[in-house]
This record gives sequence, C-alpha cells and structure tokens, in this order.
Amino acid sequence: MSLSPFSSIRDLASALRKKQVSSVELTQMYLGRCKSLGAEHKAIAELMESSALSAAKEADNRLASAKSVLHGIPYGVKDLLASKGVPTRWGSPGHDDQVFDFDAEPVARLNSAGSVLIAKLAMIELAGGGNYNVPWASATGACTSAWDKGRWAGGSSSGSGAATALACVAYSLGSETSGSITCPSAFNGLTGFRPTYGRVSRFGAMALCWTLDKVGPMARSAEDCAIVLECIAGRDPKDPSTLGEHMKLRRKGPRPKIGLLKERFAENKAPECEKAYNDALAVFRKLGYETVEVAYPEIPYMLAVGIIVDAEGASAHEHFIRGDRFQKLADVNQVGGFAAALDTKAVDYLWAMRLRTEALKANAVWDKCDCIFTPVFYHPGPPADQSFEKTWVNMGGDYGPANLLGWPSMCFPMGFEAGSPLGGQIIAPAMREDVCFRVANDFQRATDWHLKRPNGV
Amino acid sequence: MDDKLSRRQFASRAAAAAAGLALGKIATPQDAAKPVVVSDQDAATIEAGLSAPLSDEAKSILKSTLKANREGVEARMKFKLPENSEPCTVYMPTSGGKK
Repeated sequence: MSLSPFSSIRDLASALRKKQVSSVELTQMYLGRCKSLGAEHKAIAELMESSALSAAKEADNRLASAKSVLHGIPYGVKDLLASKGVPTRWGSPGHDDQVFDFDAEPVARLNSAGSVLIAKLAMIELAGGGNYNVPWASATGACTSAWDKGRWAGGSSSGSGAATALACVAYSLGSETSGSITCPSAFNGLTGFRPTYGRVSRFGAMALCWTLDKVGPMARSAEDCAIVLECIAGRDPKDPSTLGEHMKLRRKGPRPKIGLLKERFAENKAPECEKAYNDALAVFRKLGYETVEVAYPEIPYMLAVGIIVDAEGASAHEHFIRGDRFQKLADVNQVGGFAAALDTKAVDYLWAMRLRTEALKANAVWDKCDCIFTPVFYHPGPPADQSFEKTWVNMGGDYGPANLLGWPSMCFPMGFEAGSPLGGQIIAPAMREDVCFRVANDFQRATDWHLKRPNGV
Repeated sequence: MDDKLSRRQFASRAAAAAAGLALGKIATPQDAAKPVVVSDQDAATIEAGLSAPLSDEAKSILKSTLKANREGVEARMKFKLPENSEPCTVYMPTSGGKK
C-alpha cells in the first residue's frame, strides 16, 4: 500500500497502526499543504499548527489503545464550528476577535475519537445568510476551486470543499442550511454527506437557521464520509433538535429503487452534465438498480426557505446587525440583505412554517421510490472574480423540498465540464442516510470519478 | 442594483427551473397585481435601528430587497394553505419546580 495525501481514512489508519507513519508526520504533511495549496486557494481561515502537533503527539502516544479508525487522522472544520481557544470568525470581518472557550459538539466527538484538528476552514461570511452575491463575501476573500483557480469553490462551506479536494486535510466538516455542503462538494469533486436534520448536534455551530441547519462530513469518498458521520451523529442533550433514533448506515437488503426527476439539460445548455447523468444512470442500471420517474408536488418550497432564512438569520444575528461592526461585512449585499431581513413579519415566517407542514405531502414521493438521483448543478463553479448575477446562469439544481423537510443527501463526482467536476446526488427520506450511502458507495465501487485529482497537487 | 434578484425572487425562479414547477399557479413577484412601493422612509426606519447610517450602495440594496420581499408576500398569498393548518413549530412543555 502506498500512502499519499489523498489516501482514504482506512488506509491512513492502517498505516498508523502498522507504524508506517506517525500522526505527527501526517499532521506535518497536511499542515504543509495547508500553508501552500490551502493558502493559494484561500481555503484556510486559521491554521492550528501548535495545538495540532500536540494533539498528534498525544494520538501517537495512545495509539495502542485507539478505539476509532479516526484516531490520529488530521482534519479541518468550517470556521462556523467553535473550537476551544482558537478564533472562530464565522467567515466574517466583523467577528475577527471571536474566540470560544469550548468545542462544538461535532469537534468534541472527533477529538475524543483521537482525530487531530489542524485548521479552521474558510467560509462565506455568516454562511451567506444576508443573500451574498459575490464569491469574495468572506473575511478570507474568494476561495477558489481545487480544480481551477479561476473558478469559485462554492459556498458557504468553501474552504471545506477546496481544502479537502486539495488534500490539505484527510476530511472536513461543513454545514448546510440550503446547499452549503452539496454546492462546494460538487464544485470541488468531493463526496459530501448532508445528514438528516437533527442527526448531528449543532451545539457550538453558528446558527443561521435553527430549523434548517445541518452539520455533515465532506471527504473524498462515500466510505470516508460514512466513517465521519458515524462518529459525529447521535443525540446530544445540549442540542434539543438532535434525533434519538440510532443511525445504522451499513444495511443490507433489496436494492433501493431510484427516482428520477424531470431534468432540463437542453434548456440549461448542459450537454456535458446530461452525458454524465446518463452515464451514471447506466452504471446504476448495470448494478441492478431500478429507476422510476417521479415528481414533487407543486409547492413553493424555496420561497419558504428564503423567508425562514431571513427571519431566523436576522434573529440569530440581530445583535451583530444592529451593532457597530455590521458594516465590516465583505459583501455590501449582505449588509443590505440582513438589514432588510429585520423587516420580515411574523405572519411571513409563520406562513413559511405552515407551508413546511403542507410540504410534508412531498413524502408521497417515497411511495414510488427509495431515493432520488439528480445533478447537484448543471455546470461547474462560476468564475471567482465576478458577481453571481452575471454568472449564475442555467445552473439548475435541486430546489425541491429536501432541505425544507430535512432529507439527507450524499453528493459525489460523476463527470467533468471544461476540466472541472460535475456532481450528482442521492436524496433519501429523513432518517435514511443508509440509502444515500449504499447507492453512492455502490457507484464509487463501480467507477473512478472520486479518484480523479486536480492537476499538479 | 434594482435588477438584482433577491433570495426570494431567485428561489421562486430557481424552483421553477429546477423542479419543473408550473409557476403559473404560484405567482412570481413580477406577476404581482399591484406594484409595491418602498419609500425612503421605509428604509430609513430600518436604518434608524442600526448603529450607523448605511452607505448609499447598501441603502439601495436594502430598498430593492425590501421591495422584492414585499412583492413576495403577494406571491405567497397566491398559494393557498389549508384553513387552520398549523405551522411546524411545537412548544414542548417541561415541568418546573423541584418535585
């Protein structure tokens, strides 16, 4: 077995057990890549060199008693997750001196497993809740795709996407309110796992929307994502929204039936994505998966999401919005957007929450299929130096009920357009992450898209 | 900046494009029957609640976003929710006291 920065978590863990490499050596290697590649792509918010090397040394000392495959494995987290004693700036120039004296629960669980936190990763300021309109809406500037420095890495978990695809870390954590794990995973050719709402504790994570936010892994394979999710999932008394149900990812049984939405490749001028999608479908069918056409009920899901983000985001950050640092935000659109969100009426919000009840009718789609396969977007990331109003064209994407209803999704690379990756995703009913994992993992066993690497890294 | 899409406008359009929804049933802000007017005073009222005056650009974005959001109210009213339906918010009573 030859080790590389891109090695899987299991291979890294095996090398550690066999003493082919130490956690300190792995940590030094990844820190070096953060300093070079990570910095070039503006993917790093804060490097934790000193504490990481101490933690790695501790991991090496305790290797004999390690209980987790994550023991000694270096990782990074979106700068929205608190980590004790280290700046957690939420990507915002207005929070440049913010330091928490505790770890976010997902960080605490990974650290308890012996994993080594080496970096806080760049993100869109305040997770983009004020309606950002430029890729550089971040204290660290425009984070660029691992595949093309001219393209945006996606958001809001930008650094988690680029840094993991560049192998600056073995894996990372991102978060999603509406697209913030799937988007940067797709734009960087990663596998990303958005869990069911409530599956992972949000304690210590910046709130944008209490009723929509999810924390999940971003890695280079479905298996790596599964390993991380198994570690961080589970009930947490400090976050009342966490689910009590035990998550069992590795189930057997009949193959799930895949639902297919009506795609609009032609009108979105996406022949490369159409080919990638059809090729992926051919793989699924060859593996024995059945497919069936499905459709969501006609409900304005995303209008409700927008109102919920406005109302909950304005409330979560009201003190900051009304404070004297508000106008330090990097994107003036966020300033205008957050200020306008203060005007959101209670009846607007409650309409959105009533619509959410109505949207539960969309669960009927699961009478016909066990999961849905759809592209994350029809095209790769847009240019990193232009505003989205000029570049976010024909992108498509899943704007159905998935985030509103807390459904899980696993996204994975399935092809390329102009040298940059295209992502597909498997969406499943709430609490059925096992279906996402099984289908995506089967796809990755049969294909090598997830093994492609950016040139020169 | 008036030609910019607010999140709500974007979401309405994107939903139509991506999910293939028939937005004829769900009016977009452009379909609003009555033009929504946002006055300088509306923006000034919000600005007064901030710690410092907004830049001209931010003020312009604030006004256009307010306009879009208010148009969104008309758009959402076109989607009829069942009478008496409940929001998906649940208050969980917890017992207090020492006993």
